[in-house]
Amino acid sequence: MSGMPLRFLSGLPLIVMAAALLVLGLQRVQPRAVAAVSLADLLAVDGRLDDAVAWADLRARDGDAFALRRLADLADLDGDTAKRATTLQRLVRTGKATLAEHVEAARAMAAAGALKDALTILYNADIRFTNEVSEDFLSFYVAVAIDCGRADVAKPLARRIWKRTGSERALRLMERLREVRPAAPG
Amino acid sequence: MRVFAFLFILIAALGSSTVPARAEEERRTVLLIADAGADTAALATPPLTQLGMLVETHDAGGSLPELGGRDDVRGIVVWLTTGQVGDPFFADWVRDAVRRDVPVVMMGALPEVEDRFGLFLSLGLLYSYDDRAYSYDMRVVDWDEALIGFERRFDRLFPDAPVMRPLDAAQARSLLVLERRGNAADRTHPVIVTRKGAYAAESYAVWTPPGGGAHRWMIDPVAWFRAALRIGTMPVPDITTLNGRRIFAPAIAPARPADAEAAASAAFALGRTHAMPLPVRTAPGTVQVPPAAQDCHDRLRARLLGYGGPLGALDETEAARRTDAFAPSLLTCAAERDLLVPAAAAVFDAAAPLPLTDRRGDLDAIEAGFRTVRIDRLAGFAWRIRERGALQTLRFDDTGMHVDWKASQGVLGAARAFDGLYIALDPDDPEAVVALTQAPWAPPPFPVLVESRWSVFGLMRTGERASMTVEAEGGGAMAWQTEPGSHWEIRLAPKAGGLLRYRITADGDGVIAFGLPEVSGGRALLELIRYYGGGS
Repeated sequence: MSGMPLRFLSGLPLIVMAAALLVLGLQRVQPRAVAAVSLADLLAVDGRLDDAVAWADLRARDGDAFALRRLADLADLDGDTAKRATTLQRLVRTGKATLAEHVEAARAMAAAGALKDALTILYNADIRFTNEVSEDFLSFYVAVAIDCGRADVAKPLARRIWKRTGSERALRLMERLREVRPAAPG
Repeated sequence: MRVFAFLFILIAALGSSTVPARAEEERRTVLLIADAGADTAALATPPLTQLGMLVETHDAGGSLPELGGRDDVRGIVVWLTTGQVGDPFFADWVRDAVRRDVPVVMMGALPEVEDRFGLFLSLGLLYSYDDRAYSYDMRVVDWDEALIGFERRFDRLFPDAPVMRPLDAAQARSLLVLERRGNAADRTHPVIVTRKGAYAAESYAVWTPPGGGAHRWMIDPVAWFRAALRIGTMPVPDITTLNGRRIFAPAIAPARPADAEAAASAAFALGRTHAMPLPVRTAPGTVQVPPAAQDCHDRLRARLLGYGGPLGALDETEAARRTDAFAPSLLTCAAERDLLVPAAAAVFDAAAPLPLTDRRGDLDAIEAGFRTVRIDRLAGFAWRIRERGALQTLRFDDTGMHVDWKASQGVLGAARAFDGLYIALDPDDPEAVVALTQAPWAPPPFPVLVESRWSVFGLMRTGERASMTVEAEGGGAMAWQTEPGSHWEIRLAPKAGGLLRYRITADGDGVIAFGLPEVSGGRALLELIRYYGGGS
């Protein structure tokens, strides 16, 4: 009988190890995005841009905003505008993109002919950065909205900026929106 | 009689003094007006140097340099990042430069001046404000394929730019024309050269990533500055080449000022224990230190990637144009000295198969010659070269012309590499004259040097004989241009040892190429003597 507690005690480290293995060992070992992207940067510095983009792409598959941002930058460095555009769009969808990144994403989409995607991004930027959007932003927004046949979408912002600044440029943009006929239903 | 004699002497003196008066010195100074701390000076300097220009940088926020009395100014480059200019008379200063027939190149952000319209009008450009801050509806209608999309293409994504048009289209050269919504009346010329200057809109000359760092030229910078600054055919002092061969000049440099001592002792150890003597370059600004190396984290990079990257980058400076000597600087960190031996070995391994001329330690003197050299344009396509110091190579870019051997003086020979015609000058002739001719190519009237691993100087030659002194370190490989099919005896007389004699026949192009053994004593006398009757 006296051997029981002893056996239990000697088995205790094994139990602790097993528990630790269950908790820690089953977790997926994943380096932090920061460290992973650093390798991508090293590859980029060495001129191996394709490898750098491929590596950053791998790290960004989980939609981490930091990794997506680096991927967009590396794709930009590589001159891969299509990759950059889709990556920026993914970054915007995470809700963690800055206003400049929203605008860059919309510019890339618009240049590629995806005007509705561009308008969606600008619309979200207006909601997320209400007090930060400028007249330059409005100018772009108005152009895309008109080209999409959705001048109505940009009207609130035009009115708001005109009220805030009273500038001639905002007024001109408002008038431009007013001149556009509403799109026919359907 | 005395009066006549005096008049004769006077006329003769006046006559002789008119010869140098006809020579006009090539202007080589470019005034670069840039924001302090911006990358623009570092970006503009290499291509301007490639064109043989001397860059004089001024802070855009300070007062502008006086133009009166300056007869060395080739042109002005104003490259702004913020648009802020400190001098309230900026626009007047630009107009003054244009009046003096000095081309003004405007790049980057538009200058914040009251009369911006008038400023651009003086450059032959019509500027108008555009409040359309987007460009997705723009398309290219005309572009210079050779100049636009140099390191990076626009790929339909154009930066926002103001509307800029030529005042007189016949007097301008538009390198890129964009049109909005297919409307021919709604065009802008973001990259344009006029007779009075040039303009490259912000982000149209150079692409910069959002966080800064690696730049990419959107336009060919050398071709751009050549066109914008109206640089025609002229000899360019060349610091990359000697006797037709690319210069090999590896060195050690401290990664940070604090590592200077470590670099010096590492250089000593490399020379003593590994037979790889390398000079230490410590002059500030001569070595571009990447940020990673500044933090002495190059160890990680070296382990992961080896030294192929830096050497590969150096190889790239040999493609299309030769923009640099093969002169890698091995950055030293006190904590990472052990990496220097494999790095130096990698450099020597990379250099071994290349046709280079070893000039370790001479590069600084050659670069000094680049700064001091004076180039006087004589009549036609001829130039007198003065005060060149250790610089012994001139280059003509994109020229179909050939050397006029009879009108030239102090010229060892010439060779073509990429788009350049490289002229090797004789170090023993301090005032060389280089003349070009548009006549069709013909064999030279005497042997002319194509390329040589050894230094060559004191060349004296006729159609039958050429004798010179050579600086001999290691084996010598050289090539000469002579009459096709001609026969030559080569005599090498080292300071110590007997006379060495070889015979060789020029090939169908008139080239004789040969290798010579290592000779003791450093210097040797080399002769090429023509003989007739064939045989060997």
